[in-house]
Amino acid sequence: MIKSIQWLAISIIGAVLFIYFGKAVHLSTTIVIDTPPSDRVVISAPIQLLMYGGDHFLAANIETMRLATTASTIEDGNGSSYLYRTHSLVAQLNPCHEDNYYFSTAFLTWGGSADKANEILHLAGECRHWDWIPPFFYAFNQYYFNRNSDVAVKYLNLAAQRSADNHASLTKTAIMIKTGSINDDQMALAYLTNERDNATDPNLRELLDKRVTRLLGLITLRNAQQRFETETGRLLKTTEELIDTGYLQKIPNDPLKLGYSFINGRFEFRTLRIKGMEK
Amino acid sequence: MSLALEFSSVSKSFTKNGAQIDALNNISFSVSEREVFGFVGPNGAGKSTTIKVMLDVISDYKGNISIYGNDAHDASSRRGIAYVPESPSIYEQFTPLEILKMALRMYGIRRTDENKHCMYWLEQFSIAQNANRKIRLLSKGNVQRVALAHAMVVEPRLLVLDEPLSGLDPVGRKDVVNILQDYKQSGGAIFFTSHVLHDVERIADRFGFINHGKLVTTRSPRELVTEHSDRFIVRFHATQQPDNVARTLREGEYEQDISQSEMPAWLDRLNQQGGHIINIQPATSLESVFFQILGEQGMKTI
Amino acid sequence: MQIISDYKIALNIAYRARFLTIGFWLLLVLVTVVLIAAQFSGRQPATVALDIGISATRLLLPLLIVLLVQELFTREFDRRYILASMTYPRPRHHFFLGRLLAIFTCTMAGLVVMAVAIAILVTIIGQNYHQATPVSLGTHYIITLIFIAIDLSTIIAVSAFLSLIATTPSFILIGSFGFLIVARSYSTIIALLEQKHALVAKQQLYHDSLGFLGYILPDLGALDVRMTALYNSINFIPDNWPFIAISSLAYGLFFIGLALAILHKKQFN
Repeated sequence: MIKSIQWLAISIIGAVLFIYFGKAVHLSTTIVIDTPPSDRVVISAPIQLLMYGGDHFLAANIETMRLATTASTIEDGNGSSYLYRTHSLVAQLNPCHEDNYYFSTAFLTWGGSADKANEILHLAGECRHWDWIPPFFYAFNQYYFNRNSDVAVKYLNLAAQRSADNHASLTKTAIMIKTGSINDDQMALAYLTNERDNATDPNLRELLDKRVTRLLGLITLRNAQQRFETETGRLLKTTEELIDTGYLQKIPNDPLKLGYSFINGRFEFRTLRIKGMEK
Repeated sequence: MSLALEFSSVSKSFTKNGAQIDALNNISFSVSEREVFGFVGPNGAGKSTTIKVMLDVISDYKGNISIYGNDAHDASSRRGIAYVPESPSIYEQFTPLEILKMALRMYGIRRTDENKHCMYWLEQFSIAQNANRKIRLLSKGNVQRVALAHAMVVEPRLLVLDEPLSGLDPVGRKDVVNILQDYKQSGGAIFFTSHVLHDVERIADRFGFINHGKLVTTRSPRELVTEHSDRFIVRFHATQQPDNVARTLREGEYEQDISQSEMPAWLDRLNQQGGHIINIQPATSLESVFFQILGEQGMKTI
Repeated sequence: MQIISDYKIALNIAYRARFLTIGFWLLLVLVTVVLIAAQFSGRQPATVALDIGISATRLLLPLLIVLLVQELFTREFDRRYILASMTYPRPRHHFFLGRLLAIFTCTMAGLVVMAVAIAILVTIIGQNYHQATPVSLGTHYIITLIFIAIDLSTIIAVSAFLSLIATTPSFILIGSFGFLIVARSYSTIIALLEQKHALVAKQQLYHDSLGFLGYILPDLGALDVRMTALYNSINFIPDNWPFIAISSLAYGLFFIGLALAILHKKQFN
């Protein structure tokens, strides 16, 4: 046994390098998988725990790494179920995991599953009792996607309590939401472009870029609607009206291929329904 | 003269495959200071078990064992004892010099001339030139010498040897016998076991004969010579298996103990049966006495 | 202290069994794993490096423990060195405790070296990226390491005990790691099952049978307080930490006592 230790060590190093460079290959070739990989297996947390020697931190890290290596191969939308289940698993194993809540916000929130992202953000916010970002993200999602101003204000105030640097601006935003004096589309765009520009991982940057494009598409639609309604003096009934009247050249292309919906006279992101995950 | 070692009614039995085996059956004997006591018997007779109970490696025996007046269950009773097992298992990743120093440490012996002292004993066993080679590189005979040096280096009052000469070549045997004799001269007591009798006959003051866990008898060499001077060991060819007391050496070749008075009649009978003598020797060798004693005990085979 | 002699010899045996070489290879594995793990983190490379480093330490050092137990106890029986060791004028517990202390020393030395290596790597990795929540390599890290040391001590005790009753060397490896995995995971599994997110059927059944383990195994999972170092917050140390620490140490003590009792009763037939 003792004499074979160097071989054991080499094999472990080999396995790690294999996984690492395996990731590099994924990144450089950006394989697009035709078939939806939504039925990818996510092993439940207790089993994961046993697999990693009772170490839930290790399980959380390895799952996050697995996600980092495979996320680029998951075409947006299709893989959301897998993404959600994995992020949710990591949130169970280590709710404090920063990469996990951050990436799940990026992938899920703007990928049509804001509610799912919120579950993970809520856990992260509880665990990371010093971190202002999870309650801020949570508040943003509640306001922008769920139109739930009360909850948004509550969590913005919580975020403000946690951040000395951003205390003033967070409190100000909370007040603006309360008084309804906020351009939410511009806020969202500022927020998302800021996320994209700060992303160090090229993979994440690319994914966020798609989400910025998607949001710009929504803003284009809403602006066109606003001009149509102001200039014609009547309410928009269908999306086609915008194109027919020349207010819009074409329906903006959503790089996530989820598209937009026009419900109750308002353009919204089309949300993704994840099979078996609805409450 | 006080006693180095005393066994009082020591019994030890094992259960093997459900059957109870008496490894030691009510054994009592003593070894005096400065005495060399040889424990002789066939394989499986209980020799090794005797040593193991003495050293408390086996501790669940009945009876009492005392070493220089101390109970053998007490670890400190082994302070004056050094032991050389039959097939020495010595840490093979160390050198002989290190092994000897280790022994000093385990006996709590502190010496200022530690190195010199250890080298002295390695020289005594002619392995000084291998003092700094790893044990695993040494021959079996040299390992045996290291084991002996390892025992002698702590300058024991009682030396316990299990088959001390079994792994050695004739030169080695002579060396060891000489060292043991010197040790005896300098006042040490020895307890040893053996089934190879010839080499150690001359150093023992007394022999104990053990068979099937029983101490058959204890005798001194002088007693042996006087008791058995009229007996002979006859080795002969015979066409058919002779009566009871003969030992079969190989097909058609036998051995028998015969007293001087029985000899003529026995030779006549052998002639009539068509057999012939191979050789005749006096039965005073330890080996022959041993077989004879076993014969008296009604045990034909060993 | 006569036991010092046994201890020194045991250390010497460990050294001759190329303990340092083994340690070097394990350290190399650790360094590789930590460096690579940090590459996977977009937001918190230093935290992930520390996290993975602690995980690797907690898995590699038990491996070292098993190797040392095999060298210092199992080989002793296999090669029948024990027949010589037991005939020295020393009580049997000197032999056992001397070797146990040597294994403890080697393991703790390994822990210190690995901890320093992790700290250096994390510092280097941390220089490239400014994290919102920096790791703590000071007091919080030391507290984490002390709890790991308690965890490892318990494993040493159980592993040494197993070596006395083992019939094959692989039994110690399997037994020690089996103990480690179950003792480190059961309390976390119970906690996971209590979460509303758990997607496991027959929850209550699992919960009850796992709860039973609490009576027969120490809660080594609770000794993993690395979050205090990862997220630089003392709040992650459980309030009942003295009980968890003492119960684990008492568990180890129980097995050492049991091992000594067995060794004293053992007959080397």
